[in-house]
Amino acid sequence: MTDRRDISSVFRGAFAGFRTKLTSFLERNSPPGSRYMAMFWNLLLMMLIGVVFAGFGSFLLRFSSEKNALYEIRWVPQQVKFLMPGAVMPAPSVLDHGIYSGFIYFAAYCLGVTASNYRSFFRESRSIYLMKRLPRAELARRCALIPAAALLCALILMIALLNLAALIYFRSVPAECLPDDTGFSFFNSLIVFGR
Amino acid sequence: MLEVKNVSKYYGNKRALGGVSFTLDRGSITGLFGENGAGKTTLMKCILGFMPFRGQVLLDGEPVTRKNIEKLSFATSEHSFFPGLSPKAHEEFYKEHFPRYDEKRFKGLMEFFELPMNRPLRSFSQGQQNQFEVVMSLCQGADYILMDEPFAGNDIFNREDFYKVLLGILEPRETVLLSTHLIEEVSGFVDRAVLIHKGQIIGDRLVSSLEEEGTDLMTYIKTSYGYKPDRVGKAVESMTEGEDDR
Repeated sequence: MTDRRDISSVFRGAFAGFRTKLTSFLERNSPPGSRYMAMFWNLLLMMLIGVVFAGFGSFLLRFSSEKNALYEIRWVPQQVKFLMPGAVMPAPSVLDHGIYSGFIYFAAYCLGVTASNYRSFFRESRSIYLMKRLPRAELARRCALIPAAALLCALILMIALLNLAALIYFRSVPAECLPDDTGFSFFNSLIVFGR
Repeated sequence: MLEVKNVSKYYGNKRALGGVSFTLDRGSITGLFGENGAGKTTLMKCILGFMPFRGQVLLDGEPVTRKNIEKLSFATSEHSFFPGLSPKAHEEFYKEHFPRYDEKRFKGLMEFFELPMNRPLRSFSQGQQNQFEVVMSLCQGADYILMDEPFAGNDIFNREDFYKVLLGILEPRETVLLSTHLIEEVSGFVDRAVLIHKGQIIGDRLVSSLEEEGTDLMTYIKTSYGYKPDRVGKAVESMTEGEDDR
């Protein structure tokens, strides 16, 4: 019991430390006085919506539909799925477009956040005059670092999802239905679950 | 020394500044006077390097770059603070970015203006925002302090007291270029007047030399602008002509 409480307090301490570091990072790298936590949550939400739900979700939908098309259902006497002779699964490069487009939508959103951060220096005052009197990197950092970091996270997430897609594809498509080309459109070298 | 050499600025085909030249010596307080649209703000923005221009601006013999721009501070009626930050947070920001930030002066001026330390600037009144803008320009630790209509919207008592405080706190290295319409108010405060009209310098005199000639700043400015003292009388007369006959 004591051990469990100790572990719990260690986790809580680590989480609090992470949260403090995250808050400090966001505050130091966003336009001063801006609602940086809102920006963070929006980026996270859009990353989930764009890359995971829209991107990976569209892959799963298409994959599942194409995989179902490999089979025919017969009632003998209950429902049984039979692999159709000569059926071939579309290549991964045909199915993976959703994952990339989700990332591209998110990249466009990040670009919008960067522009909005820049515009914030013209809102309610002209704090751009102060920013322009600081080292050049300061303005660029305050506008673009967090969206760029989010984009990098999205890229890593997309590569992880491509690997998950490869894992799903190669584990669940029967060997005889695999097409000649089993490569993904991009990032092939980063996919570890190829055959 | 701040040297402005033959600075010209065009917005499309419209000339905003046409070959403006003058120098500001260390420790001087110079008034930049001119009507709306004369080019005062454009000139200040050119000095600060906020916009491209023709000509040259030298700060202690060097062009204004990111390396030496901290020698310049800027108080503008458009305000250059962060509206979502409190004065306390601004102080932290300035301390981080301006090595010569004057903490003691900040505290003194905040007390003088009775400004709250922990409220975001957007909750301040227009007058308080102006005051804070000026406070930050004076506390940055800059050698050249540019002020563009800093007190538009402040009451006269506040402004007069501020000028007195300013005269008391400025160090010999600090140079002020003050653009304002409130000529009479600053006449006892500036030691030089630069007059700008349609983007060109039409007058540049030391206030002391005017006094020696037995004239004052207001008269000098009116003369330089070709002000016609009888124009009011003529206008009233033309508008009321014949009314007595009725």
